[in-house]
Amino acid sequence: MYPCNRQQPLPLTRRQMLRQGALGFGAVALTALASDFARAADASVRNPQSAIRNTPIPHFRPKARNVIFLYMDGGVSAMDSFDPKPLLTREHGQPFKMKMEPTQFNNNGSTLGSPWKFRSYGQSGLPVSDLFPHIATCADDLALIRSMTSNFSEHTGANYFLHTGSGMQGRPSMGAWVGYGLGSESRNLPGFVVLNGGLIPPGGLDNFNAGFLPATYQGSIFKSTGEPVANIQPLERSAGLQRAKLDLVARLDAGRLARGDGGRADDAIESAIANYELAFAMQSAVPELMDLAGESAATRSLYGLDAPYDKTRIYARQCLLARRLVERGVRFVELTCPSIPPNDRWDAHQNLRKNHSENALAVDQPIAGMLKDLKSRGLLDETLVVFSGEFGRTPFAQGSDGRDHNPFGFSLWLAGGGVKAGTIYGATDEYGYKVVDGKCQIHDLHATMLQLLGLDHKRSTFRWGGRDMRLTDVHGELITDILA
Amino acid sequence: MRLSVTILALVIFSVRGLAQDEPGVQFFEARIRPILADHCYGCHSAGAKKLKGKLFLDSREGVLKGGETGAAIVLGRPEQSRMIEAVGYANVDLQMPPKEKLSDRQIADLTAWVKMGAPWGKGANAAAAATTTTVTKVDTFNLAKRRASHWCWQPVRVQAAPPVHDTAWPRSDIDRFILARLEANHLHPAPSADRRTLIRRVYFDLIGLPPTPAEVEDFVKDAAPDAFEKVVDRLLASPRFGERWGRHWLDLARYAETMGHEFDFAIPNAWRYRDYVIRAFNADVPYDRFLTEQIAGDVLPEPRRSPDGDDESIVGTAFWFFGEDVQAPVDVRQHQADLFDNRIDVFGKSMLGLTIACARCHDHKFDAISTADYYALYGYMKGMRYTQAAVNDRSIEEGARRLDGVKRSLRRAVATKWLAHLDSLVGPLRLTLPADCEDAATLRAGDAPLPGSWFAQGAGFGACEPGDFVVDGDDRHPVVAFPVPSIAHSGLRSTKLEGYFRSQTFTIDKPYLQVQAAGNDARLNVVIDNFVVIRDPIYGGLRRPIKSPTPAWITIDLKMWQGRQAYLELADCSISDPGGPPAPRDGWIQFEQALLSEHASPPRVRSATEKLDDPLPLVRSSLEQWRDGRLAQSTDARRRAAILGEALRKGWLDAPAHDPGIASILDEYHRIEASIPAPLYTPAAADGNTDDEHIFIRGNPKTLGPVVGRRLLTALGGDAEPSRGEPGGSGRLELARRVTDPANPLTARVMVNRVWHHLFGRGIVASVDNFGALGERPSHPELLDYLAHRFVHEDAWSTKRLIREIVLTSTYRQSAAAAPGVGDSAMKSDPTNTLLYRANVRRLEAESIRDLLLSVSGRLDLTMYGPGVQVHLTPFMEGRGRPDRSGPLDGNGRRSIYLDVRRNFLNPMLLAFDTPTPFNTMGRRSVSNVPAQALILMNDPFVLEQAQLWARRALADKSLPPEARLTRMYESAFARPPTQDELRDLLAFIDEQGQAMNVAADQRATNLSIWTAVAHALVNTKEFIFLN
Repeated sequence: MYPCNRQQPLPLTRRQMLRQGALGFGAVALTALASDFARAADASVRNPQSAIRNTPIPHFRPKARNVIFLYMDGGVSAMDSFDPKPLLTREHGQPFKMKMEPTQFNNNGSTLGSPWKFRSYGQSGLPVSDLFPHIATCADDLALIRSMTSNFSEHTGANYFLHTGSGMQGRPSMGAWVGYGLGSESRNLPGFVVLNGGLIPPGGLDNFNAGFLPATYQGSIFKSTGEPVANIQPLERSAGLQRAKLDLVARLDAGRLARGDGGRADDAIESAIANYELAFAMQSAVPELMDLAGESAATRSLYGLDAPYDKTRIYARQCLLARRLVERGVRFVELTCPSIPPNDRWDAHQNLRKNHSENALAVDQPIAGMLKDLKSRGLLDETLVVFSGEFGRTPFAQGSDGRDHNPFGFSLWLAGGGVKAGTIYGATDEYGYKVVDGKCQIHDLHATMLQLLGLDHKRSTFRWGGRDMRLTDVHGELITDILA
Repeated sequence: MRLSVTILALVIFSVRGLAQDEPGVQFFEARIRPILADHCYGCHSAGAKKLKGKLFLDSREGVLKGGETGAAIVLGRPEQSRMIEAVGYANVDLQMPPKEKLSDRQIADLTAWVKMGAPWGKGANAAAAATTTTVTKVDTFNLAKRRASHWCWQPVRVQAAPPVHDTAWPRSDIDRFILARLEANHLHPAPSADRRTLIRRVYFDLIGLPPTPAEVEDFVKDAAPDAFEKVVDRLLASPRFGERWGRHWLDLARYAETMGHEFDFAIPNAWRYRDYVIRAFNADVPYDRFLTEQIAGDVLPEPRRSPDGDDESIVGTAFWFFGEDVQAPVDVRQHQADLFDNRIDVFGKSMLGLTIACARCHDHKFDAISTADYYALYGYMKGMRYTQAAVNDRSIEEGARRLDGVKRSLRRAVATKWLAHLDSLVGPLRLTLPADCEDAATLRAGDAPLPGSWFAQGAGFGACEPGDFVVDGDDRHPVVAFPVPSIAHSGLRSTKLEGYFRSQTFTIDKPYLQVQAAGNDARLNVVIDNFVVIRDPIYGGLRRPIKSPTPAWITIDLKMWQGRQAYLELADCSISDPGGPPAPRDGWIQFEQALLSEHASPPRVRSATEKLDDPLPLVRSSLEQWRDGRLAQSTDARRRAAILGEALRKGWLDAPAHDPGIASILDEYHRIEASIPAPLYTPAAADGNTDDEHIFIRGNPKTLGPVVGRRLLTALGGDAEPSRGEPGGSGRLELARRVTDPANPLTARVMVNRVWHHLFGRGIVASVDNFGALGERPSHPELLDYLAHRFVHEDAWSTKRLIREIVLTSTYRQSAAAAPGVGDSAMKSDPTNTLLYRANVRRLEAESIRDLLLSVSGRLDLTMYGPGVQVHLTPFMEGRGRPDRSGPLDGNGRRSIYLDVRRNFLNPMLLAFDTPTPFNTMGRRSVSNVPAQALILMNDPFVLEQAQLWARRALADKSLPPEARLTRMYESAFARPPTQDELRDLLAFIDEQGQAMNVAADQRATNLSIWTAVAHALVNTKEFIFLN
């Protein structure tokens, strides 16, 4: 069984309780288990041949239970952050010496040295640039991959690829796959939450969709301002009015069930009733989640909620919410970046210095704060934190002071559960243009993430369109060197 | 096994003694074989657990023959040898051995070995013998065997209904097939559902809307034996039928009105396809004809016409173009491969129930579909171009022909008048003769004209020949120009007429394209590898405006795309290119020539000049020829047209006085011109010339295998008669004929199974889009064949007759509650009700839920057709391409099928209730159960608004007692009155709410807030969204 006591057993009397309807609305919710009902919606669309069973059990003992995916929309430059290239500085301004592949804008300039200095940090001596002074203090917690590649040098294709393992629209997002494979541990929150800091990446909401998996697994967007979740706010003038209404609904539904023959025919109706219980519970769980009043002043300032830069404060809130979601058993949390106009995300086609400085200022302290907070609460061991963009940036300039997209070699890091901290894996050439050692694909990242969560990526399948589909398609090799 | 060992032994004996002690062989044995054995044989030998890349390195022959990507070595040439490249690790995409690089010494040894000609030691041939036997073992794809062993490829057999014991229950043969299986499993069918349940069920199944209370009462009271038949026939005849069943087809066609991806550009006029599908289902267009229109509606000899003469068939071809599309792929060839893959995938699943796209990279893992089959279909895709076609082509052409006639009258009148005035005007003339695009004097070495035949589309690019003229101005200057176009002109009949002009597909074998054209409000596109969404940054230069009164050169730099295939498209039409800027109405193009060129600058046209001291006789004879319509036939027609042009420019042909005759002809011209309707564009296919395609080894467009001729799948007889296609065309009409051939075992089966799925909630083959080996087996194979055969041979592919036959069965009319005593045993023997011992309880589909809400609230607007209603945007719908404005919360009360489908901004309510994301064929929707559904029905403003409207409607008649009001609400939502218990609960609720809201007791019966709560509660009962 899953080594976790956050799940609770299913009451044997659920069916009777539903059919009697006598307890009124909400009573059943106390004993209902979201994932169970979500899966039972309709027998005809269950997937009996799929390798994952209806009551999901991991394939091996998991190292991590949750994922926090820090999505660096637009693509962070590796040679300005985690992959120092002194040769770039030496040849700054000279014509670029390697053969240049076609780029997105085809407006290639000369070799561009990094405006930032690198220093070594921690016992591991991991080099980090001055862009990320706070994350640098967590150097010994990071497993850095410097040899990631993507198949797409254009945002949308690369975004879909990073999120779904395919460059085209319509495949399930990794969060959906994880939910499908492991179920949810939260009884009143969805299993896959996207904390929208302000930027929905190119490709739109399909980056977070369930694709051909049941809609149950689709990412729920939580906004940082206004109503956090769609339709979470009751429109009745008081909670009592809604409660009375739902009590009536429960009685009428019980009447409908009583008129049935008691067989399997009404399974779907039972599931739909239970689904209301979950929705009702969510109505109170979400505001409770979003309310940070109970967090101490020290915690708040650790994350940067009191930082002078307003974008830092936005991302600090996101990171703190990520921790709170993980505490509540939400499987997969993805954070999108705050909007920092006139920068277009991390997509520094011009004025690299300003773009990366401002973006880094927004996310650096909150991320470091979150890593430390998770660690001090003992949560980092069971949470996998991943920091990645969809690709990197070119070592040569776009125009005079920007960098174009570079899918041929870029850096990302992982931290937390099951990760070999303080390691560096793979290498790019001396310009940071292409991978020369330990070449990884996005599929390898996915395979490794699933592995850490206890899932064999080759066995995590869903039959659709005549194939047992996988997040990793027919690819994916574990990046064993970064596993603890 | 024993046999091969013997052979091996023999071979070893036979080579024994051959040059064993040569230094090369010693080197091989000492240095090379150990490397191969230790590092390569794991994947590249007869003993490999799984052979990789079809490459054997355990024999010299294997090394020389190589694998999928070619020979492993070139003898004596290490620098050209893939094996040496691979072990060198310099190419990150080709690194062997994959786990760890060999030592420098090992690499040096291998390099030296290749250089010395790859000597091989003993056992070489032996290994080769083993290799041969292994090849057959590795290559287990046997198409014929697979076809023979899987049910779906077998012909549809005529099936007689089986005998049954209970002869009273069946109403038709369909029932006998069902009952026979139930009886064999000791089950009984459920009794017939009561009439209220039945009418609600059949209304939603056939038209997707609830019956009105009056319709329910009529049916309940109708004692006639054919009461149900009458209801069914009325529904089949209702225009609402197509709105329900058309939506099912749209799920297969991954219908959307935008292209998705980063900017979510519109697919202009996509909604015409949606309307076409609705009309086609309402008109019960025979299914084989309907499919033919999807595949090849643009090339039918006799397209189907609407009552007002519009081309219906061509609209069907938009089917191909609803896939996601991209605005800036860095690798355009890969992009084309992905685009076509989606088309082939959708084609295979929707029409044939096959996963053909699984054979893109390798032979199908399970089905009788080879990679060659896949690339045989790819050829059809290559020859098909995206266009926007005018469905009202006939009325436009009719008007254009009348213009042609008026122009002839004008020409005679004008010529007569000019001839009368000519003598006094003419002086010496210096003439610039028009350059000819084929003129060798103009072309330089390195200039190559595009191939000669072109594809014209639309009434704009009419026939054009010397002497043709542009009409404009007043009766003194009725003719404004005599262009001498070399290839085409789109403004001669009228600048109001428009169209496309496209070249043959050519290979970009030179760095520049030089195009010479005049025009206004027009553009040219260079379409590379069928990539039409031409956009900055990379592709911006491939779209150019044409804006020059006289022919001017446009130079297009194609260096980045050398080697790719492309066609040139000239367009003056008023429909935007995908992702392109708006296009005005009055465009025209005079197209002179197009050259692929080595030169960055256009050729200098060295036009000959000619001085005519006394041009009068020539002008006169030219005018006479022109007047009589003979000018184009004269041997120096172009010269004469140029003379007329020059004379016109010089003012010699100016008419001195007002001419009422010419004025009236001009009036008529302009009157007709104004009466020509604007083109009604629809996305559609246009035929281009095409080549068959190579097999892409492992799906990689950069590694080409042999060419495959265009044809349908081998297993469907595609190999029996290789297709040559129509001359010059893509051959899609032939493809359509094979898909709809009555002998095709899949097409009819797939369709009848889809209908069954929609009526019972589960297909006879549950995996409706996959009849292959990984799909599910049919639960009632004989019934499936019975239905398929009947559909084709008795019902002439009529979908309505098929539906009618099924819904009139006793099987369809069963209750959801099992017959007494059956439920318990069936729960064990048939828990999923595969045998249909009762009806399934089904949740309404997303569109029906929304339409039901609008129906009970009275907000439903049954207006049909037209552009989609703009999407209502919530704060959660963010991202690039977000529409500027939000649409109405209630979608103007229109049925859900008329809501705009924007890929990146899908309606959240429909999405939550499983309307599919439009990316691929989705014949079986999920029926999920997520909190978002409950939250929408509980808290969404749209739902609340409709609940309030429903309450208002219920309260309209103030005199009714609450019980009667509630009864009416129940009847409109559930097709039944409330039970006593329900009435009691509801009345109690009204009181309770009244107290909580401080509404006086005597006001509660008419209080809007209370009744809104009642309506809202009813919406949230499960009975609202479920069918019994």
